[in-house]
Amino acid sequence: MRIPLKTILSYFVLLLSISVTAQDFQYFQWKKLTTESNTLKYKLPGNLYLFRSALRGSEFTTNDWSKGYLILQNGDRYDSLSLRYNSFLEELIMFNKETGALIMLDKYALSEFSMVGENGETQIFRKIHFEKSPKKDIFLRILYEGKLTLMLRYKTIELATSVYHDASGLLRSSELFLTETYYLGLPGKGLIKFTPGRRFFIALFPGQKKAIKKLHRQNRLRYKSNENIIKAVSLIETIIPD
Amino acid sequence: MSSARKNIIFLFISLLFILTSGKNSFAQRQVHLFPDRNFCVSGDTLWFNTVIFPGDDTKTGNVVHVQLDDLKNQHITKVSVACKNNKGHGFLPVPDSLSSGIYVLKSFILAENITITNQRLIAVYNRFDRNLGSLEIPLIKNPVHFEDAPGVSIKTNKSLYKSGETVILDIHIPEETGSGLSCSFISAAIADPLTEDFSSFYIPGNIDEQTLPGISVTENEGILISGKVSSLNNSPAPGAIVLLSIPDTIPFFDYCISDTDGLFYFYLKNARGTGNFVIQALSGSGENCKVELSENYIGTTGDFETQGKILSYEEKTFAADIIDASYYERLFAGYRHPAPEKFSMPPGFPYPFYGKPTKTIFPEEFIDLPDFTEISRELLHGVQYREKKNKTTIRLIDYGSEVLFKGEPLKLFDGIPVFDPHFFSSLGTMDIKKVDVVFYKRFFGSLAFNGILAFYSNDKPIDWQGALPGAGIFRYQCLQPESRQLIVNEVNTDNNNPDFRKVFFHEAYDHITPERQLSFLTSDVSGKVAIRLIAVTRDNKILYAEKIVEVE
Repeated sequence: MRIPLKTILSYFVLLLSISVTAQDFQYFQWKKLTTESNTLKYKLPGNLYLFRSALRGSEFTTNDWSKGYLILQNGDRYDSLSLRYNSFLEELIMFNKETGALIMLDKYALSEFSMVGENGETQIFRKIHFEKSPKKDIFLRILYEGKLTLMLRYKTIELATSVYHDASGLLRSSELFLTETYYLGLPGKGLIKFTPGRRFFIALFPGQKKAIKKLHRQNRLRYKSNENIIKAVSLIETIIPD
Repeated sequence: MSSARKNIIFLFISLLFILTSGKNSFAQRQVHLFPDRNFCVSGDTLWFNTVIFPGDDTKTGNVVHVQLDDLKNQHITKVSVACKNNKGHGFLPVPDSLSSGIYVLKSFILAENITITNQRLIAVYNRFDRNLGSLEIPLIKNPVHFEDAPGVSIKTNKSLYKSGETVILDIHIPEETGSGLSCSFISAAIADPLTEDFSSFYIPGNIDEQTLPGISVTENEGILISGKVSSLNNSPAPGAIVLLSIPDTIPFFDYCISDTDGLFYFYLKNARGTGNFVIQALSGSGENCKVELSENYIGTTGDFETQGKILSYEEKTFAADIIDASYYERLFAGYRHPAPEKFSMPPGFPYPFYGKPTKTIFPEEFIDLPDFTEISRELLHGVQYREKKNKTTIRLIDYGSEVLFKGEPLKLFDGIPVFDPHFFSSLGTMDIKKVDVVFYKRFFGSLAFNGILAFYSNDKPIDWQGALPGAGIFRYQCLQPESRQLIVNEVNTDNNNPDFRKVFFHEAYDHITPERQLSFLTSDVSGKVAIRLIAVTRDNKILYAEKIVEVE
């Protein structure tokens, strides 16, 4: 097959003009931006996210992208964003359809976001500032909000395991494991990390020991699922003093 | 009639009802404007109150724009104020060179389906027009007169006062009237015989929709700024990237892609005062564009019809007296214009738009280095600066992929993007206060950057930005900072300083008690003094009561 010299030259001229244009702009775009990317809200800031782990398990709380809203620290709200929560880094990842890029959003700029969980339920995450162990901002899932607040921290950790081959054929000796930690918010007293159970609430509200026991007996409270824990917290808050 | 047909008719009527009621609620959205008087001398400061109706509509936002136009819809000046609980106040400096005439104050908000502006008339006497003989007076069609406030009475302890005497007011508002009020305003000012009637009505004006911004926005503690980019041959430049930068400790940055008409929009939240904005625009092919910033005035359809009026002796004397009073006020007290509007825009975030820097360097903590080649080598590890054959390049290392970025980073100087890397070549450590570097591919909305290199100068004047190709520096008035009208109502103990106040009292009240006693001091300006109470009811009626006393 013969390619005419004219075509080859045109191709090179085209390549050259593209590189010159990119040089002039001094920044890189996958796609030419359109007015679709315009918004009067504060633009979402973040770094490029690169998938990194080839370990067994997942860094994310969901297997797929989820539609959700996002509220910035200044109150601006974005809806219908494609989001995934990276529980290993504890960072929110967004797919930007305008540029086709995965962006790890700056945590300092975020206040709250929502996602759809694996079971189809809407999960609301809120940024909470921890003063110690660790001193940083962490996204906690809000399970229940009333006089008491029930929150859940998703944290993926790397655990040692027996040696296996990853998708690239490399030998690995660790895997990712999702952990869940519950926190209870008390009015005016901050957050307490806890293991859900009757014993915890009795220790927390010793004055209401009998009432808590009665509540558990009458409602057959168990702590086997989030729904059960939410029910328990919502009942217990009715008997605690203001 | 079959039940299906009945259902269809019922649905149709319901739909009609919903649509009609919706339209009514939009039509009711309006902004009332109450100036502290109906006249001023050029160079005066006019104070005003505004009320947005309805007060609980989140779609109206809280920003009211007040503009001063002449009777031919020519724009003179404009201010924007943010309301609290749907009520706001502010001032409008009347230009010193404005000709004598009747002018129109127009108040509006930028919200959907706002098509009417409430116009108030005001007379301006040019301070050199002491022998004013005639004026063009508008023929007023369809004014909306304020209603008499039922049972409201304004009583004074006397009807004739001397200059510098205290006027004591007793205001009585019946319980049934007071309970229905949303807010009320009480003012006392010298009464202009020519414009006395202007106090008790407004003129609805139809907004020319062509003059509204072509974008839906609710201004809430923020202001929309818009403009147009055009190519160097003056044709609109669609698809251009328009960059807005505001230098500050935490610099503000935003971008907008121009639409098919070359228009662009930015929204500045919490921006107060008058600031210097740098706007750069690059067309789709990377060329610089021309930028024009719009002042966002609204137009109204139809001019006022006018007729010439020969001023009566009383009107002429008033104009001459009031001009004299302003002259002597300036002579004795100086030109008391409001304090300059210092710009402030509290950042909503702890870091600039480029996020938390990976590295921050303070060059003054190191040895003195004469140029940027030395600084990049010695202080900025991960920053590659090359000058080869008249071509300068800067590259940052990408901590994500652990190789150098192939393209230039976004380079900022005092928060302003600088595209020519050679700009930095002569910068030494003495010129730079701080350098922030981000060694990651950064995104801001849909803009992507090959890392960030942000320099902050040691007190570099703003003029340098004028040297940037394609950059425009605009001085723009955002929301008016909170300010209060200062009316001195104390006995003047300094006999050498005459008192030429024209407004003696001006206060706004959210709740007014049924019996209220107020007082104010008259000034050395003699004539009739109009004491007015204007109240807005919860169902959007404007009530009016007035009492005239005389100062000899």
